[in-house]
Order: sequence, then structure tokens, then C-alpha cells
Amino acid sequence: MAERAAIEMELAEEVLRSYGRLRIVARGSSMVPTIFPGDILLVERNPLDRLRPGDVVLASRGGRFFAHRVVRLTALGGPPRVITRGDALREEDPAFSHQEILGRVTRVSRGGRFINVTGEDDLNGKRILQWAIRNSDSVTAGILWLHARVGQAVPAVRGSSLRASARLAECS
Amino acid sequence: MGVLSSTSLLDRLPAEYARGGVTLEIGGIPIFLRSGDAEFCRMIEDRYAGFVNPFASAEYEFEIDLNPPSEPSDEDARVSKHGDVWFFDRGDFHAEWDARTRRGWVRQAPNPYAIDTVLRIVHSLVLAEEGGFLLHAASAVRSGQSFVFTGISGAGKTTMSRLAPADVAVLTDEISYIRRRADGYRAYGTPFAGELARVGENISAPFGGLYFLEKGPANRIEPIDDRRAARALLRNILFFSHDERLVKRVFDSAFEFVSNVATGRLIFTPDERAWRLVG
Repeated sequence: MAERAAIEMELAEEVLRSYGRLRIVARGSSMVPTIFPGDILLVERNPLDRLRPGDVVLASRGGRFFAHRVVRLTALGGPPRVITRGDALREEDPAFSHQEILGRVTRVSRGGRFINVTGEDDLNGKRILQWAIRNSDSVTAGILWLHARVGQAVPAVRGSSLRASARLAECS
Repeated sequence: MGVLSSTSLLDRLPAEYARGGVTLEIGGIPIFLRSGDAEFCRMIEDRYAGFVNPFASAEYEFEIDLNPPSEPSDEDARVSKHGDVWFFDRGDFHAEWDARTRRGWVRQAPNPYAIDTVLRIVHSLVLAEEGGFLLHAASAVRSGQSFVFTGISGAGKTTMSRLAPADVAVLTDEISYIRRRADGYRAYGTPFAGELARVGENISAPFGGLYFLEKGPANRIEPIDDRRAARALLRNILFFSHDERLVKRVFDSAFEFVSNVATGRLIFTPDERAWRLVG
């Protein structure tokens, strides 16, 4: 099973490297309310020097993909690194090296709609919700329950020119 | 699974990082501040958090030498030029910068105010050469366009920033950053904060409009002719040098700017309804 996962990750990385774009299905709740389990993420290979705090990146570590938001970039005490955190999490992730960053999540598809993942159109209401999610597992569970009840069945990706392996990205 | 190095989004890391320091990318212009003082570097990374970009290859580089701590100076910075070398002086720093080699050094107290002023001066000089400028103004992005609000002290720059609705990203409440690009003017976020003491967002957008702020009994926009607009704009451009050629360049840039962008007087009551007229 672990070997299969490793092969799927290698394939996903290969697609990203070769075609510059990758679609991937999210799972986990660490990016709620921006990204829900089952959302389809479009990941693009953008040069790292164009990365900004607020971007959501796809990173690879320990045989898992992570789609988390960039908090800051740093070079203090070593080579440049990317500090990320899930929108629903209080703690920052251990820093990612430049080799572990695979691309930027440029679009999220949910129930046939596209969701903006940048911070540029953040609403105050969403910020308050994020704060509540970060500080209460019950709120997170409630949001996930509501999301499932409202019926966000992930549709098949239509019209995609990519035949990417839709390995799951951890948002957990 | 090991991560293949060929998946890296950078061909190679910038050479600067290995030498200790911080790369700040303001207005899309990366400047490397080289310092072996870890505390100073940490202070700079904290203060300019959203503008730190260690993955960018620096276009300019400054070596920072730290003096013993002293009180920040409240005098004006003096800027002069001899040959290709610029000299910046104030009570709490002395800096030299060769615009040709794009390298310089700063001797300063270990506080952020000195380097903040040096950065403002350098950016103002770089922008002047390309037809842009720093402006005493608040600016923000709404619906993919940037809007700049300038005026005398107390006209309402901080108020407009504070009242910005949720769909507005504030670029700065103090110093706006205007560049002339091939496809038109563009405003960038800056870390140069004013009363709000809040660093702007590090994003940019094509120029949408320039508003001259005035407080009044009702919210409305009134036209302003280019001549008056240029005169008002020049009063608020942040420029430190008395270099004749560059001063003329900034003067020309101001006139060119107002004749190419939408301008108006924004007369507003200090409440959020003023934003209904913007964007």
C-alpha cells in the first residue's frame, strides 16, 4: 500500500513537472473553510521567487502531499524556507525547503464552482469563522457536518486536458 | 519517498542567502541587506514579514554595519550625489550607494528606522529613473484595480484605510508605490506603515484611479483638471534628492501620470459610505 502511494506521488510529481499543472483531490480538514475534503485543487508550477505569503502551496514530505497556506518566507539561520500553516490550524508546519515545494494551488473546484484561495478577497465573516475553527474542534466538526449535509458531492472533472493522477493531498 | 531535486521550482538558490542577510522585495524590486548580526536580521524579517523573499535574486545589495544602539533621529535625511555614488545621511545612519554597480553599505544603529529610511530613499531614486514615484498616500486594491488616496496631513488617508470594506485589500495607509510598466501604471503594496502601524499587503494591481482627499459634508467625487492635479500630486511625492536631472524627471513624471490616469477630488465624510464611490 505504501509502495502504491509512493508510486502515485511520483506520478503526480512527474505530471506537474512535465505539464506544469496537476489536479488533485483534497482530504482532511486543516484548510477548512477554504478547502474542504473532496475539493479538487488545480496546482501550477510557478517559480518560487514569485511566492507570496497568503498563497496556498502544494508541498511533499514523508510520502505525503500537503496543501497549506504560506505564512512567511525566511532565510534566518540557513537556506531559504517556506513557513506554512493550515487555515484551520493554530500551529505552523515545520519549514519546507525549496525542494519540497511542488507548486501553487491556483484554483479550487467544489461542486462545479471555482473557489478563490488567495487572501485578496477574504471577508471579515470568513476571518471570524477561521478564528473559530482554529480555536474549536467542535466548530470544525460542525462546519464539516454542514458541508456534508449541504451535499458537496465532488463532480468528475470535465474538460480537463490533464490526465493527472488524482492522489489525495493532505489537508489534515 | 525522496523528493526529486529536479522538481524544485528554482533552478538554483540565490547566491545571497549563503552570506547572511535578508532579501526584501518591495514593489517587485528585491534588495538584499547583508548582515552577519542574527538579531538584526530577525528584526528585519519580523518588521517586513510579507515582503521577505529569500528566493528572489537581488537586484540591489547593501552591506549593513551596526553601530552601538542610539536614539532614532528625528531630523530629515540628507541625500547628495558625487559621481555615481549617492550619500544618505541622518543622525542615526550614514549610507553610500553606487547606482551603477547597484551596491552600497549602511552604517547605522541597530534599529529598524534607519534602514526603513534608506529603503525609502533607494526606492524613490530607482522609481524616479523609470517614471514612477513614492507618494504620501493610502492605496488599496478593489476588483482587481488599485486606487490611491492622497492629500495633506489630516485629509483622511488613514481614515480611508481604516474604513476599507472587506472586499478591499489595503496596500498602505502611508506611502504608496507607483511604477510605470509597459502596460500602464501599477500600484504596489508597501511595508511603510503610518498611523495604522499595519504593513500593507504585498500585492499589486493596475491603476484604477487617483483621488485627492478632502473632508466635507457629503460623499461625492468632483473632477480636477490635470494642471491642478499635477500640482497637488507634486506636493505629496516623496523625494529626497535635489539632483537637478532627477528632480526634473520626477516633475515630468507627475504631469505624465495625471494625464494618463483617472483623477478626481474625493470629498468625503469620515464613514465607510465613501467607499461606495470607489471602484
